[in-house]
Amino acid sequence: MNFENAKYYNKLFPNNENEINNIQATIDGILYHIPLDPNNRYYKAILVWAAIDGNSIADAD
Amino acid sequence: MSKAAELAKIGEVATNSQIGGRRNLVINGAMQISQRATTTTGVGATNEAYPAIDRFNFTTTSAGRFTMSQTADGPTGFANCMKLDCTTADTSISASEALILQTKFEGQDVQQLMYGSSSAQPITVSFYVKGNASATYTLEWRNEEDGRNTGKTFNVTTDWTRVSITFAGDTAGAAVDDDNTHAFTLGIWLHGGTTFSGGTFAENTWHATNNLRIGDSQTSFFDSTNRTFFLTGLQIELGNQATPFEHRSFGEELALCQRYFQDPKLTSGNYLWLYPIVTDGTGKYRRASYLLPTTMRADATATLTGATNGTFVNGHPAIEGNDHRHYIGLAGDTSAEGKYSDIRALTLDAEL
Repeated sequence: MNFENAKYYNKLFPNNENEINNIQATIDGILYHIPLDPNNRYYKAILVWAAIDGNSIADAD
Repeated sequence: MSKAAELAKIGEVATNSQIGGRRNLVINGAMQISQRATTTTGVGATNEAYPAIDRFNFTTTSAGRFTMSQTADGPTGFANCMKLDCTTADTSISASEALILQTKFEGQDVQQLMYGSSSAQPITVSFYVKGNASATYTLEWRNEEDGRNTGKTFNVTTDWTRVSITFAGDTAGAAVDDDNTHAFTLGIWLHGGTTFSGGTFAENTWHATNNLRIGDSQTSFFDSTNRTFFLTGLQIELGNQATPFEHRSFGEELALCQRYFQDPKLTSGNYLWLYPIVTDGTGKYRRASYLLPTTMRADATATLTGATNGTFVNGHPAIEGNDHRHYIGLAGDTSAEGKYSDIRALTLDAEL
């Protein structure tokens, strides 16, 4: 999977402003919302991708 | 088949407890369900893809490309089949190239195979195939817990043929965890390089050697743009005999597929409205809850498209919540009170 613009997403409302909910990343021009579940194939793949030098998942806003 | 042979087969099937209950481990073996698309072109550009017919994916590393379709060209008794049609040939096969048509299984669904014990059970795989011309491909059964495989070649002709292959249980292999993780893969090798074919192939022999995975007389599906491959009636059952294909209803198969992928098919008039939650007087906060019709295997990856007559804010539309198996929280904050906000397309993927 070719990830681009990977970024953690924070739940903004209500009352959990600092809770990271998922990762948003673009694959082939489509925005994917990837849950933080080790049994999710996209999450497994993005962790492998992020471990490669030069790749990273940006912090949430 | 003679009457005596038929009776003997029935006796063996009964002895092996193959009659009664649900026999087929394969979901969507009759190719009934195609939630993503009924035809997808250019398949092969992505290494791992579920292009069209539910529960069937491809591992591809090749310049070859093909179209995957759900078609009505099945054998007698089957309304649907899978059609693969080569659109870009690849006759220069480098060592690591591969094209594998796969369907995958959770550990908790295959505990009856008793792998990792002296009682490991045989399975019989049966399916209907045809192609544009004679060809030979390799069927593989792989234990993902330990990377051990067994395989056997089969032939394709221009007529529908039912293939039946029995694989012995692996008494030396690893036990399969009783959970929702990837335990087994049934694969059909349609193309591969010497990394997978360099050794001398031994049929129906368990091993963990990469260059023994493809039969010595393997055809490349990518050898010509004339190449086609048709498949339906895929069944895996416990025991040494292939029994008639177990047809299931469309509704049953759809629910089974929705454990891994869902698309609620939102259309005009049936969009998911995002309702205002007024906490600050602006009315811009918008949320909706979507209860999934089937519990998914794992938390699902989502794609979604929304619309508003204002401007989406806070990085929305987005999914929220910590449980994406039973329920999806949808968020679509918009710029101001009085603006509508909705979700117009949604997919959820929890495939293995």
